[in-house]
Amino acid sequence: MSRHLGISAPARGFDLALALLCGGLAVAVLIVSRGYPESAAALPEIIGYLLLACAVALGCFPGKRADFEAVRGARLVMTLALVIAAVALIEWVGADIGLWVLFVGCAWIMGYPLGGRLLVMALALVALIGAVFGGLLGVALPGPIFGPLFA
Amino acid sequence: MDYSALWAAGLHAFSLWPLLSLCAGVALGLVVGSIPGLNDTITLAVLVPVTFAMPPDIAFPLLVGVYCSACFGGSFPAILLKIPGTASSVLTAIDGHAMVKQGKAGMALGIATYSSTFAGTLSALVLVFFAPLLAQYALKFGPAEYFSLSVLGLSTVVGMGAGNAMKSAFACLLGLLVAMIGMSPEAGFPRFTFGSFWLFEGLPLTPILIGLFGLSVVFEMLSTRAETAAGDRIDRTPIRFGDMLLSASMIKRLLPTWLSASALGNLIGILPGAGMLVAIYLAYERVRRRFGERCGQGLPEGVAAPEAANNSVVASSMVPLLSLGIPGNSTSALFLGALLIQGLRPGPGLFEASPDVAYLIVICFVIANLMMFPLGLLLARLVPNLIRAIPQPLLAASIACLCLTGAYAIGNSVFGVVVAVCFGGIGFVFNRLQVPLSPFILALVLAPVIERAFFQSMALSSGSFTYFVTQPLSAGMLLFTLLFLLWPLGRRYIRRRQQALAS
Repeated sequence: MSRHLGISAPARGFDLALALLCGGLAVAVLIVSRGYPESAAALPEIIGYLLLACAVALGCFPGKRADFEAVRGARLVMTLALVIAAVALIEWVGADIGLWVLFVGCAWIMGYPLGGRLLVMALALVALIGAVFGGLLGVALPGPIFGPLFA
Repeated sequence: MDYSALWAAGLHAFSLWPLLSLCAGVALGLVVGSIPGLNDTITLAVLVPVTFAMPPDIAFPLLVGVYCSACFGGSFPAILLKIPGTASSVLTAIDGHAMVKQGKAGMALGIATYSSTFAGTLSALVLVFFAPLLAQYALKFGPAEYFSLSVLGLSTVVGMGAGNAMKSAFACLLGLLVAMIGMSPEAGFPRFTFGSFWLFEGLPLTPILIGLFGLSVVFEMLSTRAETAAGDRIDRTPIRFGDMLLSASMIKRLLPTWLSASALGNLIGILPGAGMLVAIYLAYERVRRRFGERCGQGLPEGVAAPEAANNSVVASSMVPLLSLGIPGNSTSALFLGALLIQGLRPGPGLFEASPDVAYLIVICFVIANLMMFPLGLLLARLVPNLIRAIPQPLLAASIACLCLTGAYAIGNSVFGVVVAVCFGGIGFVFNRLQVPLSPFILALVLAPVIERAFFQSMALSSGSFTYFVTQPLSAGMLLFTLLFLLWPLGRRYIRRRQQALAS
C-alpha cells in the first residue's frame, strides 16, 4: 500500500512512531497532572487531551513525510558521543579542553583531515572564545587555562 | 506617539558605537545569510548570549542589523547557485537562477537588492509609526484580549502549516507542555519537575533557542551525507557593478510588484505566527497568476515579489513583539530573549518605561534597511568567493563551540549546556520528521501569557467562560482563531471540489 502511494515504508514507520509518541506523552501528562491542585492541573490536562486527539489525527493525516534517508547512522552516533563527551569535559575538566575537543571532533567527523593544522585552528578558536567571553564580556568560563586567566 | 523620544533615539542611532554596531550587524547578516546552512535565527541564537554583557544601545543595533540583512543575504546563493541561503529565498532561486543562466546575474542581484531595500524600508517605517500606536492602544487590553490574541497567534501558525497542520499542532502542544515545567503561576505548585531542583524555575528560554536553531543545524551538518560542494556550482561569469544598477524603466516596471508584495508582507508580518514563507508564497502566486508561464523562466517580477515580501515581514514581525510582547515568529522570539536578558519587558509598557531603547530599535530597522543597499551591492560580487573559501567542517565546528559557550554563559552553569544539547537533538529530529519549529517556539513563549490571562479572566468574570466572547475585541480574535483552525479543512474541501470539477 505504502509503495503504491509513493511513500517509503521507513518514512511511514517514523510518522507512526511520532503518532505513538504523541499518544504516550498524552497519557503520561494526564497521569502526572492528576496529582496536582486544580488550578495547576487545568492547563496540563487540557494539553493532555489535545495531545491525545493530535495523536489520533497524526495517525490519520501525517502531513509531510519524515525523511531520514540522508542521515548516516554511524556519524549520528559519533556526533552524539562527541557532544556528550564535550559536555562532560566542560563540567569536570573545563570549557577550554571541552571546546577544543568539540572543535577537533566536529571537523574530523565531517571529513577534515586530522593534523597539526586542525589542532592549531582549534586552539586559536578556543583562545578567541576565551578572550571574547572571559575578557570582553566578563563571563567566567571554567578550565585549567581559562580559570586562572579570566578569574 | 512620543516624537521627542523618537528624535532623540534617531540622533543616538547615528552616534559612533550604535552606528558601527549596526553596520557590523548588517555586514554579518549579509555574510551569514549568503552561506547555505546558516541563517538569521542561528546567528541570533549565537549572538544573544554574547550581547547580554553589552549596553543595549550596542546590543540591539547589532541584532537588528543581522535580522534585517540575513534574509536578503540568502538571495545571493539562491540566485547564483540555486541554493537558497535561507528558507525565505527559496522562491527567489527559481527566476533568479534562470536569469543567471540567461547571463543576467548582475540584474538579478540588483533586483533582489532594490526589492529588499525598498520593501524593508517601507516595513521599517510601518514599525516606527505603527508599533507605538498599537502599544498605546494595547494598554487598554484586558486579560481576555491577551488570552484571545495569544490563542490567535498559535492558531495562525497551526492553520498556516500548509499540508502539515497536524505536525504543526503537535509542535505547538509540545511547546505548551515544555512551558508548563516549573512552578504554576496560580498555585505555585511545581509541575513536571520530578523533584529536580534545576527544573523548579522552568527551562531557560535562550539555551532552548540555541539548541533548536544552532545545535540542531550542527547535528544536521555532521550526520547527513555531504552534498556537492557549493563552490563547484558557481557560474564563474564576473558580475559587473554597473549591471546591478537598475534602469528607471525597470524600477517603474517593478514598482507595482514591490508595493503589492510589501503590503502583503506587512500584513502577514504583523499577524503573530503567520510567518515569512506564507508571505513569499502568496506574493509569488500573485506574480504567477499575472504572468502565467513566463514566471519561472527568469522573470524580474519573480525575483522582486518574494524578495520584497520576505523583507517586509522582517520589521513588521517586530510590531506584535514590541507593542504587545507577543513574538510574531521564531526570530522575534530570539529578540524577546535578548530584551529579557537586558532586563527589559516587551509589551505595551516598553515605549513608556524604556523609550530610549524601544525607539532606538525601531529606528535601527530603518537605518539597517538603508545600509543594506550599498553593502548588498558591494558584497554581492564577493559572495561566490566567500562561499568557496569557507570549509563546511570548520564552520560546523565553530558553530558548535559558540553554541555551547553561549548556553553556558547564560546562567554560568552546565545546566544551560545540557538544555541546549537536548533541544538540539529535538530540533534535529523535528527537522527530519518535518515537524516545524515555529509553532513550538511560539507556544513556549506564549504559554505563560495564555495561562496568566486565562486565570485573570476567570477571576474577573467569577469563573464564566462567556467573558471571552462578551468582550468585543476578544470575540473577534476568537472568531479569527476558529477560521484559521478550520482553514486546512476548508482548503482540502476546495481542492477536492476543484479536482472533481476538473475531472
